[in-house]
Amino acid sequence: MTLQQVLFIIFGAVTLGAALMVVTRRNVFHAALFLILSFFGVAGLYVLLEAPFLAAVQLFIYVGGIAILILFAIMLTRDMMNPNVAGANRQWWLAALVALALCTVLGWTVLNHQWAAPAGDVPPESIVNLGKALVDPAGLVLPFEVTSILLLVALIGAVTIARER
Amino acid sequence: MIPLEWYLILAAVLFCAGLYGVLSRRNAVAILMGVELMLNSVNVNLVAFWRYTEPAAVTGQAFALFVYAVAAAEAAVGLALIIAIWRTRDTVVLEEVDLLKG
Amino acid sequence: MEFFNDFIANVGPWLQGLLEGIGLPEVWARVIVMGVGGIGLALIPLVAVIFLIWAARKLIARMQDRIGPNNSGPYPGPYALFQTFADAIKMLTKEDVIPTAADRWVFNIAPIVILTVAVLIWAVIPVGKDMIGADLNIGIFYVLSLGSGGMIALMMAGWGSNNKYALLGALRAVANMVSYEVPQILSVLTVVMVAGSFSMQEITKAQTVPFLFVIPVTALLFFVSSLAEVGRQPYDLVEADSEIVAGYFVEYSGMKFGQFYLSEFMNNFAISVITATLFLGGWKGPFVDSVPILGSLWLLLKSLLVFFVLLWLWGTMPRLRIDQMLNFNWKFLTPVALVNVCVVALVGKAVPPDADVWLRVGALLGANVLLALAVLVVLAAAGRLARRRDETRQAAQVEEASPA
Repeated sequence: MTLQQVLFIIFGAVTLGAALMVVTRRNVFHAALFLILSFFGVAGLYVLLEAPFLAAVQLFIYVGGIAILILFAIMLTRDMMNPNVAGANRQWWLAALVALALCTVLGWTVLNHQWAAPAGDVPPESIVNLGKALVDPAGLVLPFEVTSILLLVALIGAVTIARER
Repeated sequence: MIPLEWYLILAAVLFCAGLYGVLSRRNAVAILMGVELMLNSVNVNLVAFWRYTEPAAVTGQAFALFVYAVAAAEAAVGLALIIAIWRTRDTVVLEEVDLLKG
Repeated sequence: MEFFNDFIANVGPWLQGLLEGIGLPEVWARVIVMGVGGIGLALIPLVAVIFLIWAARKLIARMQDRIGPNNSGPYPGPYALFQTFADAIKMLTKEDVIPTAADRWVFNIAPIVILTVAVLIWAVIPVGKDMIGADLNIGIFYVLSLGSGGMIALMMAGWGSNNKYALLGALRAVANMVSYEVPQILSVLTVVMVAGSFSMQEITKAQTVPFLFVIPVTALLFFVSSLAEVGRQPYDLVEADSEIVAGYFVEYSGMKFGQFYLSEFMNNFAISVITATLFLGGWKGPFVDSVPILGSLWLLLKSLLVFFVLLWLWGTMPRLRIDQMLNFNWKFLTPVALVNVCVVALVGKAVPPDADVWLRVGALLGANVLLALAVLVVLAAAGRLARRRDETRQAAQVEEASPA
């Protein structure tokens, strides 16, 4: 068991444990906090995959943006902290069955395939290359600009929908 | 070295946890949290494949960045919708929001 | 003597040699040395904060024309140097009150998270030439991401207290911090553009001329938005001691309150150190090449200078209201930050990085000064417009009041 494998098991256990708590906790605020924990776990996995920029972006956007949004939405829409509302609806057993079936199919496909060994090292300037590719006309500048318009539209849409009449 | 299968199986289990959350939870915000888990698992998958097949290209990381942007946009609009529903119907349990007329 | 010249970089291998000498395998020796290094780094903010709290109280007192803590009583030592220890002992001996309906886990974990985040920042601060906890190639970005962790702790504190006012205070504080991240990130982007890398060590090494004199508008933007991020005067309405009774941590007592208070000061010190690293040249100074340990001393002096400016603002300026703060951010800081990024990008491309250093510095400085003048002109015009509109409105009110 190399150190990397031990770290993977730790981060993976944190992520999966927190994810299972997210979908089973009745108190939705606790579920949100476990979601934040799973985001931290995924950021640790990115560091193991030698993508540190993505780990920082994950913390920034998910924990610092989306999780804060979710917490705000929970606080603005709670009904007097009522713990009597059941967490799951009447078809939870069917949902569990479907999820387990999908998981089995995916796992079986993954394990029955011969995956290639890791192909080489990450170049040390991957962040610089990423930055250059995002503004390169022969590269990814079109998705980059379209994403910025998407974010603008989402911003205007969200503000308009949630405004007080 | 960590075999690629470990990452893929982790992403699969995370995806299925998110799927269970979306299909079985009543609170709308909890459903959105399941969707975020699914998007996270997709990102882990993308970055794992990037690392293990062609780390010299930037496509893996760039794709993951675009998924982040789309997830942020979708979370913002979804939560705005939930707040609007709360304001008009006074509930966020999606089973009770089943009539078209307000 | 040679050993002490580069003390921090030499003590690691020396300790490792010592541990291997008594028979430990190499991996364990390295782990222990790295653990000791980590604990040492974590102790820097914790110990510094003790004397910074004392310095803050004395300096604010002098600015407000009083003496502050002094040794006229039986204890805190000459010039009240040990005042902080007395405060800590008082807080430790207080009863730990938890509201009955509070969410125990969330309530208890919030102060721990906020202290952890405040200490984690120190892993990427370069305390000297080639002395850094972890030279991440995403250095400054890591620092910004950790600020988000602090926000989560605030929300946990506000929610866990089961108190409407704590909740409102936490929501306001988080809305504030999220808004002021935008100009902060844009100013950091400008610094990264000029320096060419995210890594803090690279940014320090790229400052042949401290960036304060190259891109002063960016420095001001970063300083002001960081002040709002940590909730320091004039933006400290989130914890206005005399008005809303400590906002989101109103239900905390004893050492938990002490932890929030400590984390406040640690954050203040952290932004002083980051400002010193990004804009004042970090560990650069005279004689650093021959005696690298002096780098730490220069960094300490520069960050104390920035901390003094922070305290100066604390003692002098009044507090802003929440709508004034948010207006200031969205209507002034963010447009200026955006225009700043564009201007620096244009000038940085027009004067290529391998040109003469002084030409580049001069071009950037000139562009920044022009930007500052343009902003002042726009502000003056806006002020004049607002004043004229006020006058016509007042004249109209007087007119419709007089015939009646």
